[in-house]
Amino acid sequence: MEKKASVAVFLLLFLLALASTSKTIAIRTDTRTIFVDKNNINGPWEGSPEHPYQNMTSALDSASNGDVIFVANGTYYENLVIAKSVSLQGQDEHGTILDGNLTGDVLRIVADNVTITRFTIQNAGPTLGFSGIHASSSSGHNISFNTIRNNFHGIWLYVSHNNAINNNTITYNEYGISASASNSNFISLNDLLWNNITGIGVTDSAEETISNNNVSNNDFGIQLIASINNNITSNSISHNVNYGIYLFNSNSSAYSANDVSLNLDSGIWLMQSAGNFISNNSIRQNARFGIYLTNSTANVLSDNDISENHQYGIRSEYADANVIFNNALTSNRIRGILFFYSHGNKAFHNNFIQNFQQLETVYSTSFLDSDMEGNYWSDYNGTDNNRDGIGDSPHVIMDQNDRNNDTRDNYPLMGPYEDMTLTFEESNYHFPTISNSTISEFRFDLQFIALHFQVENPNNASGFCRISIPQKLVKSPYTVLVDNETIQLTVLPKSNTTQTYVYFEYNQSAREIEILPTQSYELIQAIEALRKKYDDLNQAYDKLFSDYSSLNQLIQQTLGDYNNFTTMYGALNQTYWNLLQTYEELVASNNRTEAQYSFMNAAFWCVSIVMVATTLATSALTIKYRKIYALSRTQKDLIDKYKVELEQLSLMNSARNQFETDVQRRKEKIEKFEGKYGIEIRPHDSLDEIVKNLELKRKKED
Amino acid sequence: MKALTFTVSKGGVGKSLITANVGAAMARKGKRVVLVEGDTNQPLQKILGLTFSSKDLKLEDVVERNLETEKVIYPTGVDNLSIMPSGISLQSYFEMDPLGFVRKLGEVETDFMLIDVPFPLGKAAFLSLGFCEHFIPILTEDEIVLCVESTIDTIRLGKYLLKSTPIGFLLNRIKTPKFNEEFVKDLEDLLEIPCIGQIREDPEVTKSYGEMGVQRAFLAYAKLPQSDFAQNIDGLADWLISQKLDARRKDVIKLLNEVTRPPEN
Repeated sequence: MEKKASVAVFLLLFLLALASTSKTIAIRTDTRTIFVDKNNINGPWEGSPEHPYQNMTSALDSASNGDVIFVANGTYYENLVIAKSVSLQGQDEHGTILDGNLTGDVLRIVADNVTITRFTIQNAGPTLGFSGIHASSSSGHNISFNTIRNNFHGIWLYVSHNNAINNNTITYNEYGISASASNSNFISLNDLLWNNITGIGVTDSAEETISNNNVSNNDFGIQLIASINNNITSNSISHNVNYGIYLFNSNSSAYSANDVSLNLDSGIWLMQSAGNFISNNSIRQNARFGIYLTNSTANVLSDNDISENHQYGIRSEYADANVIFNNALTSNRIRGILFFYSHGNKAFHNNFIQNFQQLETVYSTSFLDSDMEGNYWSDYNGTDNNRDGIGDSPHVIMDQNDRNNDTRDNYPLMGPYEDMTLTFEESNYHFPTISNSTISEFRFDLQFIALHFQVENPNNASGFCRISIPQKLVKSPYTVLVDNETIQLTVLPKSNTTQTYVYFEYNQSAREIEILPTQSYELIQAIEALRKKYDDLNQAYDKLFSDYSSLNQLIQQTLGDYNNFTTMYGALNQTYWNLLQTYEELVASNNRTEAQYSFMNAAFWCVSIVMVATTLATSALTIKYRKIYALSRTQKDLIDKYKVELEQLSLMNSARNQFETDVQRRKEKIEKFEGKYGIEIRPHDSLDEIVKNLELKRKKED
Repeated sequence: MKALTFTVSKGGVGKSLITANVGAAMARKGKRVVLVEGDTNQPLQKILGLTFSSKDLKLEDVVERNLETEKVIYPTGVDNLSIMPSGISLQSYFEMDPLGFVRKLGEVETDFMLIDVPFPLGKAAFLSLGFCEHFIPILTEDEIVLCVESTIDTIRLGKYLLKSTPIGFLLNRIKTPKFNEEFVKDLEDLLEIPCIGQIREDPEVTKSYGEMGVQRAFLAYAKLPQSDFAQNIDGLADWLISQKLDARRKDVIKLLNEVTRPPEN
């Protein structure tokens, strides 16, 4: 009994526990939207749409984690401390204004995962550290679509990680966005304009991603101090009063695809920074230097367009062991590159084109080539007699201050260098080219495993191209077609099992180039030949068909004529045989008559002398005889003719009769044979049919 | 002269091959034989390895210009065996001058004359059967129904209208055991003539026709003496020589006149 009672008590407790758990979960998932409208002056103030709170402080007081606070348009003079994970949503970015009244932070966030969107946030206290939004030791915030202005920091992240700061307009602050000791933040698509000191400043932070921001008209555009492993990409950084990007003691970061132009000092300044990758940036028309390296080492500068900067394309001061390659250094007003007390820097595959002075070295030791390839110098006048795209004599740059310290490019390129890249099946393939032509439309034809590109060199009568082709993508040996004509190519000794270097020349100014495996080319030729043959055959077939049609027409016509002739022939034949018969009969009759006539004549002369007296009587007898003879001849003619007719009639008729008898006689045999072998045998039942059928066959076969 | 022709119901049954080889076999046995090439494809010439140029006189020249027949009887390289080449088909004589044709053939002095008729027969049948006293139908295993039907037609046409006697039939190109003894006997009953040879299909012999341009034609009787074909041909030649066949005595001119006469109406 006691045992049963204890089980019942346990079950009751368990059910209560279950019920209370369910209740807790229900509360937590039931997030609430709290409404705020400053125009609700008289209350009541319940946070509902009908009776909103009049200020945000009240709303925050009543909110729980996960609640949404929706704020109607109006200016709210408040300084808020957000200690709950809530979402603040303004009615309109420009109409819902949070104003700090020039005192303290406007919004100070101390809880994690706070969302702030569609507000104008302005007028924090003007002194050090007061911010429009200050995230302090809290993380995971989403700050987007706000206008933030007239604060000391627009947004200040302090020990605040994993925040997303997107699509904000941040203007007229001292600092636009500042991140201190804050890691892994995503700052993108923001406009950072007219901030007094920096657009974006990062200090003691790592793993920041700063992309697609417009950072203009600040003092410094983006500043990184003592920060590592950051990724700064695709930003537009221009018209800043000082530097576009400034790095101090910041390492191992990537700066790529940024447009760093028209800044009023230099584009990018690296001071005491190392191991950074600066690539594919457009660094143009900055008022001093494109890239300024001071006391910085082991940075990689590649594939940048560094052009038309007012002083130096790259200025390197006390900066060692940097690698500078694949850059276009064009029309910089003082020097393409200056090495000043810099050592061990490598510069190769750069195109130095019409800088006021291409390269200057001052008390510096640099390497201007790599793997037997140097740079392109637009003022190099050497020759290339061995036709490999590399000049035969070195390009020497004198050190103005140390005559014994010339710098040499031992392998100057005869044309600008360009590393063409193709992506195929998710792999990148590189085709480094040296050419005095502009190369465009570089593409890969999968069908014939062929490379295609266009070359243009309007200023040169003759063009050349040296291209290195990855064996893995396009197998050697190659055939080169220039405007569909094969040309001579040279395979350079530099080739190895992975890359084949080929060199070829062409004459006119604009050309379509195709490089394909010789095997493919032969295949194409074979296909072309086959196609041509096919066309020829097709043509021949058409002609034959046309001839055949004409011939067929002619045959039909001839057949008609033939039938007419056959009919005519039959008739003629009949007539001929009748005539022949008649003729033979006539001849016989004539012979007989002649014989009789001779005899009668002789008799007449003999007897006439004796029988003068009986002449009259004899004459009468002669006349009578002649009449009888004529009568008998006619009868004989009729008899002969009748006989022939009779014979003819009897042959066909007798054949028909025999045929019919045979048909009757053989009928039983055929049936027996058919029955025994399960087949049907149907010979013709009438002779005329066979005869007719043979005639018909003959016509068909014609 | 005894004139013979082999008749067929379809192409490719081996008519020309048999004509040439039987001719050669009889010639080898001492009979004078003249082959008449009635097919413009000139299979007989090919098999015998002969070539005539356009300048050589042919049967049509003799018929057309009424020349001596001897002028177009050419030796073949086999003793006693001659050939009369023709540049036109037998049909064409029918249309050109059938009487001249039979008149000229009738003038030939020989023991046997074998006329090779192109397939399909058509009007050529009138001429060949009309001219020949005897004929031998050839049947093949393929399309036996067609062969039997057509052979009965030919026998009736030949016997009753054209006065040509079927003296026996040949089974050629036998591929399967379908033609057993009983079947052959039933066939003899049906056709009312004896079976005078049963020749098995032999690819080597077929090659002797020289088709496909791959191989030159040849006389299988001479080159493949051990073949079933050669042995059958030899037997056939013996049989033909031993038969008391009627010499040609038909008034072909009259016959043709009758046959070619247009209907009364």
